[in-house]
Amino acid sequence: MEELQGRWHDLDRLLLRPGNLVGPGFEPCAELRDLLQNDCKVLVIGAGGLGCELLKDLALSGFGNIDVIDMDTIDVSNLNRQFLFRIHDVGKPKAQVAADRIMQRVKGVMVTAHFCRIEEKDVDFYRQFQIIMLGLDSLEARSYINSVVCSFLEYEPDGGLDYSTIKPMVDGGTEGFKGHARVILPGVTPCFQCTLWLFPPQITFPLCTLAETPRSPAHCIEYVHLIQWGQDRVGEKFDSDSPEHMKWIFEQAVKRATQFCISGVTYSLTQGVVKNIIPAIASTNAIVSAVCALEALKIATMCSKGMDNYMMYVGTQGVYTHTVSYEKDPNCIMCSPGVPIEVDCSCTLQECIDTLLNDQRFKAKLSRPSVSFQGTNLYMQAPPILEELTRPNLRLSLLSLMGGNPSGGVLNINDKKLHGVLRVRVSFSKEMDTT
Amino acid sequence: MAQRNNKYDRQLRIWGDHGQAALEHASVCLLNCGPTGSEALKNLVLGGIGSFTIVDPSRVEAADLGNNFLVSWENLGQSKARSVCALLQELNESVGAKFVEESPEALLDSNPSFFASFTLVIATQMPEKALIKLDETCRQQRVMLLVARSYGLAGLVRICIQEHDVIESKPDNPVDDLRLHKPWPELKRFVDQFDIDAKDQLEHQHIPFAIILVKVAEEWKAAHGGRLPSGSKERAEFKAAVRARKQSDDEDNYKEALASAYKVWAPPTISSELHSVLDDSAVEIHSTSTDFWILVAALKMFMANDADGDLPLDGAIPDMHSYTDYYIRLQKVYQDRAEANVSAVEANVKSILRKIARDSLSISRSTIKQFCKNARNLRVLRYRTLADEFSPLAAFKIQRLLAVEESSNVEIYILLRAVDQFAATYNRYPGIFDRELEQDVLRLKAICINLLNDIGVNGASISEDLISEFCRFGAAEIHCVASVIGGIASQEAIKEPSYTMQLNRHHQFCSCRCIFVLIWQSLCVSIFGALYTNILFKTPEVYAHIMLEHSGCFNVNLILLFTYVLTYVHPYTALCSITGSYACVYNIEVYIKGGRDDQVSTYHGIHPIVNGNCRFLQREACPRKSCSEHLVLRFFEVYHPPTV
Ligand SMILES: [Zn+2]
Repeated sequence: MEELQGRWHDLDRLLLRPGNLVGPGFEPCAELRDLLQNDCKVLVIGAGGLGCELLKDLALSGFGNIDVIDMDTIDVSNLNRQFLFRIHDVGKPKAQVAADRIMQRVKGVMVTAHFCRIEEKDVDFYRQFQIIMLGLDSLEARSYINSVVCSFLEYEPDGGLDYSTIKPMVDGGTEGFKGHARVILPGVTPCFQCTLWLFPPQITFPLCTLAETPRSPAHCIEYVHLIQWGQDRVGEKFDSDSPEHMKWIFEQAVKRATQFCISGVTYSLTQGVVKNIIPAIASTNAIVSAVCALEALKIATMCSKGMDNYMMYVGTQGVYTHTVSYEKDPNCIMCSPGVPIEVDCSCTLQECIDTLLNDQRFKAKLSRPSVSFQGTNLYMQAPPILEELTRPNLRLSLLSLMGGNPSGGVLNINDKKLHGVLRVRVSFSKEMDTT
Repeated sequence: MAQRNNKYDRQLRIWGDHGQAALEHASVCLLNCGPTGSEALKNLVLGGIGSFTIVDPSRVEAADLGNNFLVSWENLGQSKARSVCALLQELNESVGAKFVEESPEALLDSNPSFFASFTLVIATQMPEKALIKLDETCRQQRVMLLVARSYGLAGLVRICIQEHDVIESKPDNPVDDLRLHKPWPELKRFVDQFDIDAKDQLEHQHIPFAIILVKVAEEWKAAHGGRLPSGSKERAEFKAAVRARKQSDDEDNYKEALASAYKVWAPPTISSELHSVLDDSAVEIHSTSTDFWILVAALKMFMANDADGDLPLDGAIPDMHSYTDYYIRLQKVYQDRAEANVSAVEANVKSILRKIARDSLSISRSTIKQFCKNARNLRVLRYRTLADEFSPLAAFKIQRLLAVEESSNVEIYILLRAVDQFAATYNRYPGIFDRELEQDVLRLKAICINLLNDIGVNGASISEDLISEFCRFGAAEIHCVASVIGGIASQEAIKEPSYTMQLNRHHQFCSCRCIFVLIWQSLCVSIFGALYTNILFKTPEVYAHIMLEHSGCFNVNLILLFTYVLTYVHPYTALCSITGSYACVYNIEVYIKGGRDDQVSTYHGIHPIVNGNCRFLQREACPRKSCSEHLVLRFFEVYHPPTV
């Protein structure tokens, strides 16, 4: 497409002019615009409140090649902030409608929509992007992407990170007037796993309170949702998107509240409790997304120095922002060069595998692990022929399988429960076994 | 109606029906509809404001298609105001949309009364000179003015309004007002119905903790000449007295009672901010007093005459492990008291209204109720005029800030003003022409020096890197920056008509490594606030001097914890890396080493640390009066990621 002369006039100020406060290796030149337009592929995960803003911000930052993935369809309650959708779009896939609207408004940008769950895409899908933008509302989805992106990391035998394997992620999140933006350079800045504590714990009510001594409208609603539904509507799966189901929960909750003299059960509260609705407004999404997209522009072009590495925004009382440089967990099971484990010098490969399976840190992450060391398969669970071939190793000493180096090394563990490789840094305990 | 409620569901959960109704009555005037203005308005249109009017004389040019989402290619060469207006209207058909193809400056000269009909004026990308006049005009007409400016990778948001009264400030973490230390007769009688030493095990473990604490506190008072526990020794004894009534270790109500024991000797206090509202001269009521100040006067009368200095009870109680029936009855005791307090305040309101010959029913009971419920968090914000801010009055603070290492936010503020002066002198912004870039750096530097001299700041200088960065920007309006600035402006705008949340305050600080935010409540007092956290978060010499009150456990770990929180984590952040289980109320004062007396900030609130999670509940505002404020953002000069 013929570019309109002067269209990127404002952006060009940053891309074509040298500066003293720019990122490392910044070279002002017209090719940076081509890089944004053609070579830098960006993935936006989520086409909701943040996703719509991100798509707009990226397209107007010169990015020409954007993919967007979202499994949801448009709901009326999205319209107060998800500005790419109209009332007649209700029911259509968010990703597709958002992509179409962006391409319609911003000429020359190619937005590819994926109407599916993020887990439906394989690792190679995610590998093709230079930057991944997250506009998500759940920890689970973030953890999934985190494990995929961390699995790309490769470390030298001395523990040095191969910088070419870093896949930068920019994450945003909002709740009401508050939000955060963070830049994750896996292996360099903390990944989600390193800072899991940043996510607030879920509020749950004790079942006995719900069943015996309800005191609040929420207690009544959760009782109907979690207990009474299963008793009264045996075999029916509760669907929070079904108006009939929600209405039933509401009506039963009102009955229960009346019985216990509790007031305040409303349909809106019922929805809020059952669906765990987080309040959301347009302005906060706009602020957080724009901060994220600006970071993407900086990562791609180095036209200015980047954020290190977590910014919070609090608009509830006045405006407050603060940026914290969080630190990596050096033993992170996702992004570190290797999770440390210590085994005995005489330990066999089988014993090592058993140690891993019993380790709390890998709980629910391993079922049938395959093990390799510096590119050599030590034990493979599948296919059968490889399993048979590597099975004799199970009884061999791990120390000798790892080249006899008493200071240990990093084993790569694969498991169908993992989204990528798990790196385990084995060290051998000092005392020699005397047997 | 049903669809409206569905559409706005996610925001109704924040500001409720009355907030939404206020928003739907708001009419907004946008001056200049570049990306900053268009984005600000976009967010307001989505939220459902009543109507908007765009004032902009320009045509859609190529550059608009590279930074503004609310113009389309078909509109190239046509009126920008018309284009933005039409595309905004698409977003929400229930919003009234108008546009005027005129320059805001010309309109301000020819027809200043134009602005009187709006709730709010958002002025974007306007130079200093016009803004001073606009501020004056809007103040005369009692219209709120929001100033938003995006400039390269920097920007600024400022509020101009005579007075902003906050009733529903919606604190993140409301405090429980249980009056355990001072039970009123009905509560005492209710508590007396319970035997906390009940033999029945189920009964024993289902008595709400508030009842246990009132009982033990009354017993304590009886044994100590009416005094409540004071000092760590007595507090430990009090807790031991609670513990002694336990029948087993897994009684949840006793766990709650012990965790809340501090509420007996540390009930919520009246904040310095509220004190300053109560002591404000506007509380002297006369015939033109607003409803807000009549309510404050009635509140003050209530506190003095009816309530022994206490605020009206808000009537809310937290969940407590209890039988349903006990809890509901206890809740009723609190609610009844709250209603009685509302009635007392209502009587005061009526008598005040009669005194000034106004209809004694002109303030409804529901308004009074809302006011009483939120009395603890009343706030009044006054903003100084732009003319005052740009006068030498501000010199002292600027001087002091520039003398400190971490002061580049002030430099950005100076530069944002300097580019306007540059434009006034040269009829264009610096860095517009590539060939004059180097020359412009020198010119802009000279203007900065003059500007500093004019406002009486001597011997200070602006970093050369920043000056050349501002020339590099060449007045560019970068979409993402515009979207942040417009977003903040619209957030502030929403807080005003919904009359609920607090607008920008001076206690917001510079962040360190990414976006620098600086809010100047008034250049005289609170630039300091901004600066000071910057120092606090960055400089190792800064130490926290912590005074713990009411903690009962003044120990090294706590001090380390608070130091850690103050140093690395902001009050609003969850902090979970510390295990332990205790709760305390604290007052913390933080001094900067070598600082002046007024470089003190007080924190108080409740600090629960449960199961390794803790959360700062409230950062009390500084007791200083407010006039005006500024928000300066910048998006550059931060850190080096590795080359990827
Ligand atoms: Zn990690």
